[in-house]
Amino acid sequence: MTIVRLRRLALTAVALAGAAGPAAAQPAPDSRETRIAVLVSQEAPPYRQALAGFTRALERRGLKVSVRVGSLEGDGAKAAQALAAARPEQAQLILTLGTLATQAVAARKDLTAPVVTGLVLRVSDLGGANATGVVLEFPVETELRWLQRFFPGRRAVGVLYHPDENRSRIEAAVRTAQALGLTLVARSVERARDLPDELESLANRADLLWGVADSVVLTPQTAKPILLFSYRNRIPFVGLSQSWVKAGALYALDRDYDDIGAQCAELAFKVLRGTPPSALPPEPPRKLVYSINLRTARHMKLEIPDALLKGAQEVVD
Amino acid sequence: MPRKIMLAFAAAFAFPVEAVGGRGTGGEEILFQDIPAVFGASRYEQKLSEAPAAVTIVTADEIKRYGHRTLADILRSVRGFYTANDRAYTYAGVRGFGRLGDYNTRVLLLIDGYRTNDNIFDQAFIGTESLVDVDTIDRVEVIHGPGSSLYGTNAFFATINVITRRGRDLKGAEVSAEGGSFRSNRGRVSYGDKYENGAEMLLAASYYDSAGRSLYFAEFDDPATNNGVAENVDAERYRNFFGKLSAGDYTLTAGYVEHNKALPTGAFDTVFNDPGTRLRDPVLGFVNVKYERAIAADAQLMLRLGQNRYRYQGSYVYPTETQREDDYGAWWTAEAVYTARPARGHRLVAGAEYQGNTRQDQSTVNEAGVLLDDRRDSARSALYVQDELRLREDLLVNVGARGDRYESFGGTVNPRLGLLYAASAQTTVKLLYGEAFRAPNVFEIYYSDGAVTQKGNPDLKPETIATSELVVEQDLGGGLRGAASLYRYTIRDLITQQVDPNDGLLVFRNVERVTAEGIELELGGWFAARFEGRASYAYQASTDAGTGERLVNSPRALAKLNVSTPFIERRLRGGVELQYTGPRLTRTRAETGGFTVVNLTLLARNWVKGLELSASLYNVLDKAYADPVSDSYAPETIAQDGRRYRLKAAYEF
Repeated sequence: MTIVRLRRLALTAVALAGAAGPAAAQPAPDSRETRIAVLVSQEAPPYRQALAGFTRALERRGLKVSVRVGSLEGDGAKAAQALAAARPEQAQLILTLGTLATQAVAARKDLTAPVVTGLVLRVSDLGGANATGVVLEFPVETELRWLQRFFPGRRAVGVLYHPDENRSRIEAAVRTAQALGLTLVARSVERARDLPDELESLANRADLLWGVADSVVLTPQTAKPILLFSYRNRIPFVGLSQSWVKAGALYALDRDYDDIGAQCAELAFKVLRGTPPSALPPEPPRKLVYSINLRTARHMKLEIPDALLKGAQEVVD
Repeated sequence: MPRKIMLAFAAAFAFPVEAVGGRGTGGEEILFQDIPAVFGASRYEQKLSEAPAAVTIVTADEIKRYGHRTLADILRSVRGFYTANDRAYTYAGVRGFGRLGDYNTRVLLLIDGYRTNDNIFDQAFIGTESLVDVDTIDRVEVIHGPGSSLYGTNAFFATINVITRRGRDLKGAEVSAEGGSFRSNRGRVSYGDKYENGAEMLLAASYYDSAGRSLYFAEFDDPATNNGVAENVDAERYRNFFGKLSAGDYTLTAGYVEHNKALPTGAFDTVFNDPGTRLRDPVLGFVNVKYERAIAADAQLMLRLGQNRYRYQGSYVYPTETQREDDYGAWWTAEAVYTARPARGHRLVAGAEYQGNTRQDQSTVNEAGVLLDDRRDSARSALYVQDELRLREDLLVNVGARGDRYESFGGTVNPRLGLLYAASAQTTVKLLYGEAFRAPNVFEIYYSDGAVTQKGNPDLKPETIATSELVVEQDLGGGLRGAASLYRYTIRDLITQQVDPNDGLLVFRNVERVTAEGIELELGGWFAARFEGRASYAYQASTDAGTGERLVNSPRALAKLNVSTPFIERRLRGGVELQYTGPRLTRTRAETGGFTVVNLTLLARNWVKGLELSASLYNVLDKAYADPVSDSYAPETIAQDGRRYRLKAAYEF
């Protein structure tokens, strides 16, 4: 019964069409079930996949849960409506997927249920002391070690970042790079319009360009100058996701969002069994996938080892 | 140095509205968003709209696709440019101005930003005599209009910056061999790489020889002069070398070319069809070292020191004597460029240049003795500053000036003003005003052959040009871009060779004034999914302001079309080039006919790893046409080559 019901709710979550609608539209919870309120920032595929992974993992755990879902539909102004749909005040655990959803829950000081968060970039995006979760960023060391796998002979790693967003990550990267025998050539970019100058300053100093998630430096608007710079100067750019690889980045580490949902479910399970969120350190994605653009590799006269090609989730050609 | 003009404004309108990315909507979105692919985009398209000038960029890919063999071939495909060849040199005409006998002194030719016009004739070598082999070129940036506010003399009509390939572009060795009409052969060896320690090296050497062709000249159609047929006197040979080594903040660059050409035209009243009349010109070489680094968060410093040598040797056979000319130039240069953002909304470029001409020697001898032995040295220095000021998010003002000081004529100051308005994300409007100058060169000031034909004029002043221009650039979507330029210029004190009625000797004087108006239209990019290319039309009306007459060698209309498309899974690419040049006046004001030349190139790649083959057919329709030439020649025009071919193979190791 529970499984069937969970599946239906998962489907509801996938569709999400009525998720932000009247709360009465969702079935009333069984008193023996664990009530979970889910708030999602929007309805894009990664959120749907993560929610599906979350519910599926709880099914596998045999937990009887009642899930109510609210969606902000990418609009912070819809927080109240989404919260009304999810009913977090009645929940024993809140799952937030995305920064907007996490911020909306954090803003409700009256909520006491522990929070598990997924699909936020970094630890600072988690929702406070009563929260844990899975962040999207891979550890700096993981990213730098992958750089070394792809470019064993290249040492000067160029990186552009906005200081407000990424100073601490870049400082950590400088130390880690040094330990790994790499040199980080970091350029601080205050405004997007400063980007061309900073890029040009890397033309003869960087062997490759490492992309870090940054809302000023790496956006659909800045993608073109960055990728054209990379192409022009034959400095491979390491993108943020498969989409960046399709656009011209040489490779990108990516996430399995379904598995991130499952990873959140593991944390949720522990929390529901009594472990306080503060005792559960935030985790990076446990599963790493990557894509490679062979066309870019050919232009840059780079040989990609067969082992890396075979392991890729997608090879763009 | 065009980086100064291109990059100083590189960010100008790239981001008219501050990109906000995922801020406010959730930072993780950056990982989920669709990113536009760049494979269809020109690698340099941004620079076009961001520079405070009308700019054309021709890339190495385009050079291959259209079978360009020389810089002149490349320039001929650029809007507003046309060329003339007198079988000694190739001359560029720009915006309706192509003075006969002018040695390309009104365009500035830079290689990786380094001035290469020589210090005796101020000549920009653009034909087979060019300093850089086309296979060593990464791209050519043509900045239309006056550029003296940044670059000084010669940046009169245009500044041409040849950006060479880097070691990373080769990553190994390349060889190429080609053969073509007139028993022309060329070979090249190149090597380049970027090493693990960050150093980067490029070496390229090439050799070319051509037997040339037989030519007929009606003016010499007499049994005493082989019935007007010049046979075995059109041979040509060159060898050149280019090298670049970068390590850290330093880049060492060196280039050398030695070009030999027989003169089949009976030039300067020499004996027609005599193989002894020939040029060794140029023997041109340079070496420079550049230091470039960020000295603060928002400030960059570039220092460069260079050494240069130039030699021209000419042998001219006359019925009773052989005249030998031997000119030698040596000069060193020092430059410093500081770029910074000293305050919000400002972008500053300031620079200083010095050129010490240690040798500017001209000599002419014949069997009777020395006709000219003029040895000079001189110096020039310059300071310039330019500021880009953002008045509004969509409005930039670019203002700058450069002062040059010459030992010969004193000083000159040339300003520049530009308003750049981003009317929309797709449309940029540029309103430009600039002044430029051309300093009289040593040949014009001092050449005197002992009262035989020519005398010097130490009182020569620089000629000047003032240009106003309206440029509209439009992104038409789908990878297609359009540009329109409407311009007007006035040249004052034009340096012109005249006969002095007092002694009958030729002499250069500042006498003429020229005005011109024109429009240039260009469309470039991708269309119909698989075609890529560029089309342009230029209409130009240039007149002598004194007489109101149309200038010689000045076509009213130029039209160009370059289109290429891939076949067979991108393994084969066909390129078609059409160039229409309108009628031109000769020196006696007769009119040459307009003509259209069609060139075809097939380029085969990816059949065998590393191998690239190309076959080009030039002047496919075998169109007969002729270029006007100066009064150094008996004919008023010299016929140009008909249909000819070139086969080329290149292999990358």
